[in-house]
Amino acid sequence: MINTLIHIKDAIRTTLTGMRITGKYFKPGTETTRLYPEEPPLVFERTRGRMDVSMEKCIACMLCAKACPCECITIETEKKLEGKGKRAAVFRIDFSRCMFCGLCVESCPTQAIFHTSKCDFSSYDREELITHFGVGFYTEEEKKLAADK
Amino acid sequence: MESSTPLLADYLERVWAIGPGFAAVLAVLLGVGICMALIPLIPSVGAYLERKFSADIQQRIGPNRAGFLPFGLLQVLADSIKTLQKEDLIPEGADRFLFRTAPYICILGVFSAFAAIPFSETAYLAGLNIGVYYILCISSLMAVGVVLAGWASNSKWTLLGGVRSAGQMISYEIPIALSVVTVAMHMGTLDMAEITTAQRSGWNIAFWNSNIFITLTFPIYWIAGLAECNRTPFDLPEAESELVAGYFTEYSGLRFAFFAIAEYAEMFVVCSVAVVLYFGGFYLPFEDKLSLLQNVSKGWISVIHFWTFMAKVWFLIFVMIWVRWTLPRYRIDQLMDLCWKALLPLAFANFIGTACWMALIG
Repeated sequence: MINTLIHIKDAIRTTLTGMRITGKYFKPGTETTRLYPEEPPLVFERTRGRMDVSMEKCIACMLCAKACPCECITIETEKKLEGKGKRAAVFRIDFSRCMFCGLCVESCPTQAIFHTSKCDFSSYDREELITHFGVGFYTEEEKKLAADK
Repeated sequence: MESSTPLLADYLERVWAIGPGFAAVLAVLLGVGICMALIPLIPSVGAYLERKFSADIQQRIGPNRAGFLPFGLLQVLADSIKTLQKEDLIPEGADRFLFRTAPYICILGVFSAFAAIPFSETAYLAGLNIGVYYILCISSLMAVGVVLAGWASNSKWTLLGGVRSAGQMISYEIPIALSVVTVAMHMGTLDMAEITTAQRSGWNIAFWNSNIFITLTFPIYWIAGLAECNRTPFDLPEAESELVAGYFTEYSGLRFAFFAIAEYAEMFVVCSVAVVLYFGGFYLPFEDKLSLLQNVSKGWISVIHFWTFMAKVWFLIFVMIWVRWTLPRYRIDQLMDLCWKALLPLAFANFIGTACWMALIG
């Protein structure tokens, strides 16, 4: 009998406690949902998002292409006409194959390739996922000009 | 206070010049028609609120995209259209006749209960002098429908759900009946309208200032009412994790919608009975002392009363939703324990206590 009464008291107490806790969230402003397409998504500082390449820093060493396990980086190099070294005339990253492992970023000696925080880049066409970063081959005229110098 | 059908018949007779016999029939048909047309709105509003409040409690936002209206208001419409489009499937080996009948029995039981609910002075379909008793009896039909659905579907899940619901709904009828009897004993009547009119003055909060034992019956009525509507924490007949969806596992499309409508309408009925018995029906607190309402015409007062009643009922439904998203589900043996070992003795104790109080104190 006394046990039953204690049970009833406990039941009432715990129910009210629970309802107080859940009731707190009726207050507006407690939602944690982000209205994603309208609001930007929540990304963290070290998000491994879509890669970007700074062609000023790139020395066309091909280390990223070699490090890539999916072979999604294609680089064609060309000798620079001014100064020493090479430059990447063609630098393609096929994001339909990329798995964002970040090995290319780790292997880059000049930090030319880096992650951005962009995560949403779906498209209707697979070709659109291939991003071109390359500066392009020298034209015949440029070569002629350089030779004249 | 009398029911509104004679008033309506009188109006039809005077204004439209219809013969008295025909007017009476037409008035009843009109009243039932209006009721039938408006009741399906309850589950739509209920489902929308349920989704919104559950979202609030879980720190989500809930439906907010459907249609061009703000706050996802058209979600209700989208849901109903989706349900209507679904294939109406009858499983192989099912008892086709019972399978088809079950949802109608559920709907019938719940919709009939609306006849005896006094929404306001003028919105009161059937002036029954045994209103509470009638509601208790007719809403038990829901249990029949649920058991039929469970049996007719030819599936183990539904059968278990049906059997459980039979046990649950019929067990919990008893504490409900006992707490209703307690109030009826105090009031000396079973007429919903008379019970309401007797609560015209005062705070109207479960008789806490006139008889403390009746106040104590309200939690019993409320808990048993939750079990009666198959709401969490007593939703064992449709326990998703154990029984897929319980008795309506095999139902789809409109028949499934009928069960959902019956469930929400049952919630509404349980809440309105609670409002009538314990919270003064459609009256505002201290209505007899309110000077504001002295100069208002009768028609407007009944409109105000209607919305007062609605506000009270929807507040109770809100509490039901709140409880649902707070508490976990009971086990079936705990459920039976609660009914037979806790609620029933307490209801009896309250019944005897009220009787003693009436005899000794008055």
